[in-house]
Amino acid sequence: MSGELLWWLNLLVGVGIFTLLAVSLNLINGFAGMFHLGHHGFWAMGAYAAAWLTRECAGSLPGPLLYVATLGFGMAVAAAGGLAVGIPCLRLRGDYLAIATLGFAEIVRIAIQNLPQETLGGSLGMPVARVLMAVGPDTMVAFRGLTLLIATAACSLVILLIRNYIRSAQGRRLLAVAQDETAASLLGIDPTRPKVVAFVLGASVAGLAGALFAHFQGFITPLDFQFMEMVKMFLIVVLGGMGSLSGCVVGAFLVIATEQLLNRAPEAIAEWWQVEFPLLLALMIVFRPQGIFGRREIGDLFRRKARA
Amino acid sequence: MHALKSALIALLLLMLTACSGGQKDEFRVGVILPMTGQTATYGEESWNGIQMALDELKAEGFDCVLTLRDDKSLKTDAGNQAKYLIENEGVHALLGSVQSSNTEQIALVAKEAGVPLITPASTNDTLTKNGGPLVSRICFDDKFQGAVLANFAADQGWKRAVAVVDKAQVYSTGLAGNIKTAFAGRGGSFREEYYVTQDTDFANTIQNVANEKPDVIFLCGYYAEGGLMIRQAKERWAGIPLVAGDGFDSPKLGELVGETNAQIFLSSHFAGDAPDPKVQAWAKRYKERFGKMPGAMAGLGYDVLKVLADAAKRCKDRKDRAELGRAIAATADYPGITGRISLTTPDRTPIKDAVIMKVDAGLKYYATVPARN
Amino acid sequence: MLDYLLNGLGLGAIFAFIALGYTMVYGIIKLINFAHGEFFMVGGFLGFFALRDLGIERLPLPAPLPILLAYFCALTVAALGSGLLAVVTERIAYRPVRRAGRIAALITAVCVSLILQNLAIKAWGADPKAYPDPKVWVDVDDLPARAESNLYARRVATTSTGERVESEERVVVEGEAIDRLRLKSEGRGEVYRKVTIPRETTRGFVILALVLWTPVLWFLVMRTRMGKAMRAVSEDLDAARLMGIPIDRVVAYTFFLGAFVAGVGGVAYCVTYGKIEPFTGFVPGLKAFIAAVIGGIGSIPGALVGGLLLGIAESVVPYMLRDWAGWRAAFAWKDAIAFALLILFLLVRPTGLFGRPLRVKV
Repeated sequence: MSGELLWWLNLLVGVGIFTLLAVSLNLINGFAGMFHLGHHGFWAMGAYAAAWLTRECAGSLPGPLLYVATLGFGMAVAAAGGLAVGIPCLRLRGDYLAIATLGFAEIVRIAIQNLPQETLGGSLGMPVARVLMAVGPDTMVAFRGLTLLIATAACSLVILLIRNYIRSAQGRRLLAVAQDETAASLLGIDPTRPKVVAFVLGASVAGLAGALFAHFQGFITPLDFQFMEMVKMFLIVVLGGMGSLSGCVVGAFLVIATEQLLNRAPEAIAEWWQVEFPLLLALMIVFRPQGIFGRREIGDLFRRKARA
Repeated sequence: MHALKSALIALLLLMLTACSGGQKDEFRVGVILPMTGQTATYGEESWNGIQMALDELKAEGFDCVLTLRDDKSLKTDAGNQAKYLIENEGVHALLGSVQSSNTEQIALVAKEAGVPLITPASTNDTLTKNGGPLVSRICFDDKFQGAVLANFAADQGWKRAVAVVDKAQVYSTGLAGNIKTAFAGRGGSFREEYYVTQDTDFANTIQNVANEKPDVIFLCGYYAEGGLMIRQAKERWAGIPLVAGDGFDSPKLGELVGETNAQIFLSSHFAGDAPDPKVQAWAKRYKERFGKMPGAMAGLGYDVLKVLADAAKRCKDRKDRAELGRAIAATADYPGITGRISLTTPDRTPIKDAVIMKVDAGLKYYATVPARN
Repeated sequence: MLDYLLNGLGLGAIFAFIALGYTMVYGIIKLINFAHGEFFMVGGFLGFFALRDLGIERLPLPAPLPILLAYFCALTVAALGSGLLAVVTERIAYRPVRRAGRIAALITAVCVSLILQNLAIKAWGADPKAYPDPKVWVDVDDLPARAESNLYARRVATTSTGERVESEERVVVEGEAIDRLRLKSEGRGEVYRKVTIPRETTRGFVILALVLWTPVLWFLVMRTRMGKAMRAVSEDLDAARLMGIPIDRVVAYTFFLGAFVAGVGGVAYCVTYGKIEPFTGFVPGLKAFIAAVIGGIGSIPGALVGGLLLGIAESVVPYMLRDWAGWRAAFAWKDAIAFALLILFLLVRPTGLFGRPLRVKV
């Protein structure tokens, strides 16, 4: 039975990490209306920053403290990346922005791969020492459970933060700019500032997800952060609904659960899934482009019932 | 909205039912190999070898259940498959994979789960050291292979060398590093040029190498890119001997290279046409069953299952993973088809002979290089 | 330096072939067809099967006609097949989302790309296939007394489980005396020798193909009714519709044309580099897209120039960085350099070299 528990824990941690990614992507793509295809670059930056700090400081700080420090460091590095990319690129529109951000993410991955092996592990990848707690056959369940707790806490905090941000005056400005930039600027709203803030915020949350990912996996390589992962994030956001935060959670659960289930399925089914998965996404886009929740949140489900 | 809720509930139920996986009372072995992707021939050959061994073991009365998973020649998949085999299938031991980068991932998972792992063909030096006492291999490592290749080249009198390295594969960078050390030790000069896995245009790399006018070119990657590179470099590299590692040992090499006058040598673990009568008899049986001559991977696949079975037989309770791991590490002088295998060395890497092969309408045996302590 | 420049031109010509398709489709329906790289890949596969299975090389014609004919057939099959695939894809996948907005269309394109890639894996296997070397088939009776080059024959073996395994066997070594009776008794009435096409020749052919194709394309776009319709639709879709132009047909035609050219590019690519696999389309597709953007997406001359420029940049810039600035490992970073150039370009001149400046209606 312990095998099943481990499987569930693995699944839920994955859901947590991808929820963070989806929520931050939603902020940038859904709320701020910026077409961003390079989110996996920020994710990679956060993961590698955390791994690097862990390696440099292992031993000089108590484990859990180091763990938290690396989470913060991952966020900071990714945020810096967001700033570096955001400021020049936010002048670009639509498809051009998409390609520029995609190019940036690829540059990050190639850079990591080609830097000398001592710096970031290159193609070999980088091990991440277990600083949170010792991991072995007896403690595996505890480790995954603890990580899940941390991931859940992170998700809740982030979702709350973003929700409040969207509802604040700043957030309103962002939504206005996203709807119609010219009209907003005519109303006196500076178009670039809210966009940069949203971009950096989204990037830092992706960095947080990266740091969590690095610690959970114990070993990261540039190939963990390929374009397919970006597609997955996108799928989650679209599935959940581009304006809905709780949609991201549900979407993440659906996508990751399906992926994990297929891992255990007989090879025959798993093979065809590679064809069906994008097919389903395409069908969804055609017949239900607003995703599951559209712009609503899960709370609305229950509110409506009460009203009826 | 109702439809959505029903769908969600259905999915949850599906997941719960999928969690059946009744664990029967057998000795379970998980096998992770690259059955598809860039190094697919390795997986196919290794699995063929394993199947031959399995049939022999079954005939002897040794029971075990093998579960094969494909790592698609990708690192991320290797780790996932390892987790699946350990957690969902509850295997008692793992065999695989071939590419060192992939085995690295599997080793980490195995280490943390306490499951013994034997890799048939991963040669990167640090694998077994980093993996801990439960990780071992039955092939030689790149420190030895690098020296074999460097000495071979130096013995032929070649002094200027250029190595072509795949920056995205730890096997490639590791092997190149080892060749460099050994070659410099014999007084040769050494430079490196780079490409990346899945590249197809090697024109510039080829040009860079040609500009150096070397006596010998070391090809340190896998056959999928290497074979193409040789084909594209027909004119530029004419007359320069090419020396490669076991990453080139594949029946597809000839097809990828095409028609060539180049002298191509490679080092490997095993040659089906070596002058040893035992090897030739085994190769004949393999050919009858699978329609072609066995490559190194086939021999290694055969041996790895046999070594595991040998260790299991020595255990009081082979399902005790810790005891199994100790038995594996105590393997001494096992007579494998690829050579004598002893895992009692400090890093659980056997000291074995290497074979040099020459490409001549297919891979043909050329010489044996005895293991140097 | 010249070598790198020429390499770059050859590579760039292939980018240009693919970029043309991207740019034409974007020009009329403002869609980045992510699946375009897959049309290229399918073209490569179709060419592979045409070369391997049609057996045109065995026609009893004077050499080198059979080989040339075989390649011509491969190109035609690939181009037509790709074109057809594009038309079908457009009809099934893109037409329904034409009105659904940018993001929806793009996601659909990504999905189509993935579906095609994975269908290719299912149909043809994920392992790379080597493009067959051109062969000159000779009847054993027509051989001279001594072999002038290595001679090969097809061999079919059956395994103990009844599977048929095909392989190639070298039966005669260059310079060896030929024993015709022995060959015939072994059932080898026909043998072949392999011909290698030097890299410069394929490179030259690709550039030549691009040069020949450009005026044809110009003619199609500038001097035919359909071409005029295409230009009208790309200028203003709604106005064109109001003028009675059959939008659906124009779009289908554009897709066909774009994929036709990509199919040719696919075969050219595979012949140059020697292999094809389901993932072959991804990276060249991405790079060709970059080329189209650099040239100005929506502009046909832009795609041509952008493609050539990117090819040269990928070759020459790392060379310059390595030899003039001393950065030894520059070539390993060549993809990153391509992307960096893209971003720089976008910042300085977002609409590309030949692109039309954006007019934003308030």
